[in-house]
Amino acid sequence: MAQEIGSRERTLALMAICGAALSLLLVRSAQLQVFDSSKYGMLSRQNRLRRIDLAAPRGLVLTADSVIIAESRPGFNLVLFATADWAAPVSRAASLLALDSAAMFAAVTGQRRQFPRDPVVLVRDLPPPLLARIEEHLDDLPGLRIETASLRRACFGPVGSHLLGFTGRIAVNQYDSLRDYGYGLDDFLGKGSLEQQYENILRGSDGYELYEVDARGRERGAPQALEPVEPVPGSTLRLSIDWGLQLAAESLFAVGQKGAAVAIEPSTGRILALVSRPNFDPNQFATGIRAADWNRLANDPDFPMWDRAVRSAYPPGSTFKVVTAAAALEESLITADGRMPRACGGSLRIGNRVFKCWDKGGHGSLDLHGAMVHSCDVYFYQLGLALTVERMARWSRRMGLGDRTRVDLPIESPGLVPDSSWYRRRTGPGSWRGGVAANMAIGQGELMVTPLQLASLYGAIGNDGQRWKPHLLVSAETAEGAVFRKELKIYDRLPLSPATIAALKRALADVVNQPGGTGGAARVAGVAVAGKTGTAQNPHGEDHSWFACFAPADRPSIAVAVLVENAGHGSAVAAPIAGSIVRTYLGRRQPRSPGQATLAAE
Amino acid sequence: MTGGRSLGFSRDLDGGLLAAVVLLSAAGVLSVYSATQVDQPALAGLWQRQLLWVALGLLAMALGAALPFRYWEAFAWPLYLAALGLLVLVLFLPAHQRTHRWIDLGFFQAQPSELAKLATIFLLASVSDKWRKARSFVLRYGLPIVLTAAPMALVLIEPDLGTSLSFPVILLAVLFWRGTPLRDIFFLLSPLLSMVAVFSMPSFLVFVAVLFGAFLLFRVRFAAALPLFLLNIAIGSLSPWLWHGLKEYQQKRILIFLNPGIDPRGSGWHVLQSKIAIGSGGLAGKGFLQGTQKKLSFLPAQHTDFIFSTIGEELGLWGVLLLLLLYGWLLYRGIQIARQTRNRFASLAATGIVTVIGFNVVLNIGMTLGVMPVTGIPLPFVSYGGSAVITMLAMAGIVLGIGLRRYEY
Repeated sequence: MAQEIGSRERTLALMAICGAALSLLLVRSAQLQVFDSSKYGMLSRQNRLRRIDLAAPRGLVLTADSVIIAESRPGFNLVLFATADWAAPVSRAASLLALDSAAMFAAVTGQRRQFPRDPVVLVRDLPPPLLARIEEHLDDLPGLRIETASLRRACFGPVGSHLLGFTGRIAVNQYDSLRDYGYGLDDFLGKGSLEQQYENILRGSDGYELYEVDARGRERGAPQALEPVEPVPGSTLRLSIDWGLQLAAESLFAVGQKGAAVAIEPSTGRILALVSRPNFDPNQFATGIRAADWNRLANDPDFPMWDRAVRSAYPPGSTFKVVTAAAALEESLITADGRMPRACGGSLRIGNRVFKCWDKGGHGSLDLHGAMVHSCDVYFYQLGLALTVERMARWSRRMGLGDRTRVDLPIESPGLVPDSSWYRRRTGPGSWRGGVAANMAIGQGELMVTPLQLASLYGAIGNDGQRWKPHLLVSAETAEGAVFRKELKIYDRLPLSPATIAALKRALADVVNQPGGTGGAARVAGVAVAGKTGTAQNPHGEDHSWFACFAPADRPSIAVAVLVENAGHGSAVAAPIAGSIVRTYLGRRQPRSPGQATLAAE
Repeated sequence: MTGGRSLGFSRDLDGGLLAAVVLLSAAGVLSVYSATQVDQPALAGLWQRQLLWVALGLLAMALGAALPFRYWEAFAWPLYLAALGLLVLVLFLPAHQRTHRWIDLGFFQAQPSELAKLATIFLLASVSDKWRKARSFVLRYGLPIVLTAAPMALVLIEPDLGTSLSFPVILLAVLFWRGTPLRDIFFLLSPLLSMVAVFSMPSFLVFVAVLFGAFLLFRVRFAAALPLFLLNIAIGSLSPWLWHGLKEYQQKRILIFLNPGIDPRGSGWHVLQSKIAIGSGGLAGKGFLQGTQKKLSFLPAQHTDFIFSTIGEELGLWGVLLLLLLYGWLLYRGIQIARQTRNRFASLAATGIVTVIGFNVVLNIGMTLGVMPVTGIPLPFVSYGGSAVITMLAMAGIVLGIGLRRYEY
């Protein structure tokens, strides 16, 4: 047993500890009050301090062709600093601006209830005439101040809105966790798409300046003892987007048409254009969106805020036949020139149900190539029955469907690849498996893909099986131009043999270029486009129109997926849009050398 | 006997302690009066309410002094369980400023954590004395640790980090005062040291060296040293894992807690303002009611947690010295009572109370001087606030009562 501490020692020890602690406090106090007294005395004389935040401008967003698509502009806010005696100046400011003082009072008391000491922004982004009027009377408005703020501007308004996203005011419930990252109560942050994804890059860090104020709250200048902390502007994002192509692609959609288009460079994974229609104007959010505008956006039955290119998944229709065909070839169920047991007579009877081919007249007996070119459903029904749902699901996943592409955007739909256990969960045992497999083989039913997934898949086929992760960021640079983050280029391989890929590429090229192929509308003069149409049945209305392609067929420099909602046949609506996108892009590239041309132009 | 008691009352009443407490409370009312002389209607008249709290507190003190300490021992368990119950209850009440610390009684907001501190002191004093010589490690140390950890955890999730720190200090004080060998105290603390030391290689090597030094100094046998060593390393290696399990903003909060300077918008600003106020007071101060810093109300809690800043600004280093001497005298008298008290429970309880008061003084003043983390701990007897003033005066009363009966067994 170790020695216990005796009573006398304990008493002395406890007293010594208390004495030492109090002495340390006294020494520290003396240090402040005697040795540093003059420094603190000066600070105190000047210390009728008001901290003015210096807003850091948000970083630029540049496209590959060096177009600025988002920038920051200065705005002027009327801010209330005083915590007491604010009623008179606020009502005077309201009358100067001809604004409702009751609403302003409500705003002040509302914020003060939760955050009693944070400054209150009374009016955001004052227009010049009102700004002049306020500045003239600022001396009679103690406790009020004009503060500069950095406001976001999307230079092309709604064009590319789903690519860019928008910035919005911090929600009160977010503020609690964000304040530790240096956000102020009134700060804006990126919401949605790139503005959100790269918030940490785009956002600078705010500085602040300390001003001396007199007893009435009027500023008298900055004290000498304290240097201002300069704001650090946000960094620049350089995107893979080809803005000329983006503009052209957006213009290909008619007003009121809903849909999406994605263009990718297959050899790098760079996204060249990302379109979702209808779109919205991010500038509406720049100073906090008005309630009426928000209600209009939120209640629009066409969901203009929804990014159809990456967040919406649709049945792929016949564009899925590349997966069915690849699976059948890899599983050695068919050979490229073998024919199916039953010729196409316009329909196929499975059990007691009749499955129709899109062409009522029938295609006769076809090999795989012919079945792809003419998009013969009866051929693929039989393939689906032979493959089974399970094997089609496995090959779909191997080819990247049912999983996020991990594009650098905050929200992405993984799509859906149903397998037999999924069907069992959903419909219970004893569902009619044969029909499900036949339907799945032609991309109908519960299978869902996003336009981005499809563009990535077709790009990978065109790129001989090498699939690059789609991405938007090429580099991030500080405002001085130092690159601190580089493009993330990673790839994997589609698990397909070269023979299978070659067969698919041949067939896809003939879909577009062979007379009678379903993709004729996507033809581009002088270039072999390889692609596939899709018409996705949709229980809620007219069919969705799909087209997915890559070009030139042998060594593609672009892969495109186009979806138009409720527009009917893929061959009629989506194919010409995709063709135009390819034509525009190859035309834009012509004068320059391929590869790094766009970057060299800096 | 009855006659002897009335005589004994006057002789055994610790006048020094009583005087210190009364003077500190008076200083508190004056300081609150001064600190609230600003243009904030919400603060007007608070000094009168503080006067009321002190009056109620003095009643509580008289009551605490009048009740024999045997009552406290007899009711230690029920009091402790009631305090735990209130700590649980408060978590389900609506939050004030995003914390669950107060029970609103209409005219008065009570903090169950104040009661929990007192109840824990009584219970630890009671059980740790009973189990002092227990052979089982669990009874000697394990149960006191668990009894301390329970209210501490509940206070921690309110969240009230500052107050929760009082609980381990109480445990340490009671263990120390009951005569726990230094060796045991060291090995109770070493896992905590290990958790901190593990964050950098040099500090970890120093820790291991200290651990081996302790093995040699306390002549720990190898068979005991090896598991102790492994246990320390194991507990230490848990902490980086715990740390990375925290969300980034939670980590940042802890870092700001330890070093307010990295948060110029929040607590760093308050500490800077407090240092400016105290430093600008100089030797003699700016004079009572003459503080310029406080008039601008830069401190959000200049009549509560940051009241020492106002005192330092207006009364200068001499005022600070006087205040610290009063606290020193109070602690000195308290320790004397604990030493002279013959009943072991009463002696331990007095020690626990004195330690809590001293700990709060150091934490609060250290915070205003920028050498301690920013916590919501008030300055005992001085800061504005009914719950704190009444509890503190009641605690002082209990120590006085123990002093009155210091010769009873």
